[in-house]
Amino acid sequence: MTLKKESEGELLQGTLDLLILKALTNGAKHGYSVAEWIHDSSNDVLAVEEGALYPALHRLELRGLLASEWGASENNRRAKYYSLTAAGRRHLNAESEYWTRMSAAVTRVLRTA
Amino acid sequence: MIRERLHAVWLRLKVLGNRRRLERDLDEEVDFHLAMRADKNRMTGMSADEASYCAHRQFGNTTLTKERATEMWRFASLEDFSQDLRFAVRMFGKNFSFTVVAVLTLALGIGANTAIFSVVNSVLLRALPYREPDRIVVVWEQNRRLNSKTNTVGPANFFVWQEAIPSSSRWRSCTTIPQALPVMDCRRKFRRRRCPRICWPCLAPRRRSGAFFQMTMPGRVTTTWWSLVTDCGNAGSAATSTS
Repeated sequence: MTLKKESEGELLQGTLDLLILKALTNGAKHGYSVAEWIHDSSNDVLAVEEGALYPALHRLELRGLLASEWGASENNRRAKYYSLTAAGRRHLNAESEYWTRMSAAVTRVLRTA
Repeated sequence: MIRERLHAVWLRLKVLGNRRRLERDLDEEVDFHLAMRADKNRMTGMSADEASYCAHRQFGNTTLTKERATEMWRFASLEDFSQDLRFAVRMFGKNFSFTVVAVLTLALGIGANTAIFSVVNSVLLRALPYREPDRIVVVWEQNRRLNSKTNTVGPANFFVWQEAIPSSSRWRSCTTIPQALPVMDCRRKFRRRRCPRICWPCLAPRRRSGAFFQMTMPGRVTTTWWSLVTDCGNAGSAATSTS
């Protein structure tokens, strides 16, 4: 993901996982589609580093948060589709709540005179 | 967390014997991504070559990405260890003379180390086999004329000391030199490195190998507690005391 500061590495990794899980809430997607969904949904603000996307997908699959299976893509190519597991959905809910609370807190702090 | 780890182990086991398939799948996955990106680039008016080049540039280092993804599916430390082991065995087989020298060196080193440690442990580290070994004191007489600092205590002196230092309530005398002491409790002739029976209440040896010391025994050393007597004799004392 392209943000302005490289020092936010840890935040980026956690955030990327969260965004990937969110991208899959509406059904199975392949890696390219996940990257595009995040880019489009953020009004072109966030661009996933494609090189970091696949290790993240595999890491989430190993943790049991995603499941994968091969299928045919929209242009009839063979593609690997990822979908949320029940554990992934629970993780997404917990992480979303945490992220919302944290970002609201940071915003409040920044708006304090 | 444990469930996640078990799941990861299970998935890794599934691909353990099928690493090539994993790599092939990853190749295909990345190729698909690049193809899709190149298609999108072409739709913006780029030529096929330019679209492909841009797709690769946007993606970054494909080899590194594949390596990082593949690495997650490995039992890294276990597989590295197994690889090192195989390499070592091959090298040993290739240089037999070196192997023999290395094994002998190791064997001698380990043997010498064990022997030295056994001695150090027995002589320096292990506590004496008595109830309060740190409270056992050995008292000698000094003979200034002969410049001898470890003289056997004279029987008369022994009894004087015994009365003069009441805190050391359990004084007992013994000798390391074959001699007959003309004193009531020390009249027996002791062999070198033995300790008289009367030392036992002072030293309170720990029970060993099922042998149990009985003070009710008649006045002679029996084979049952002989090994304990030998331990006591290591103190080589002229008089022992626990205060």
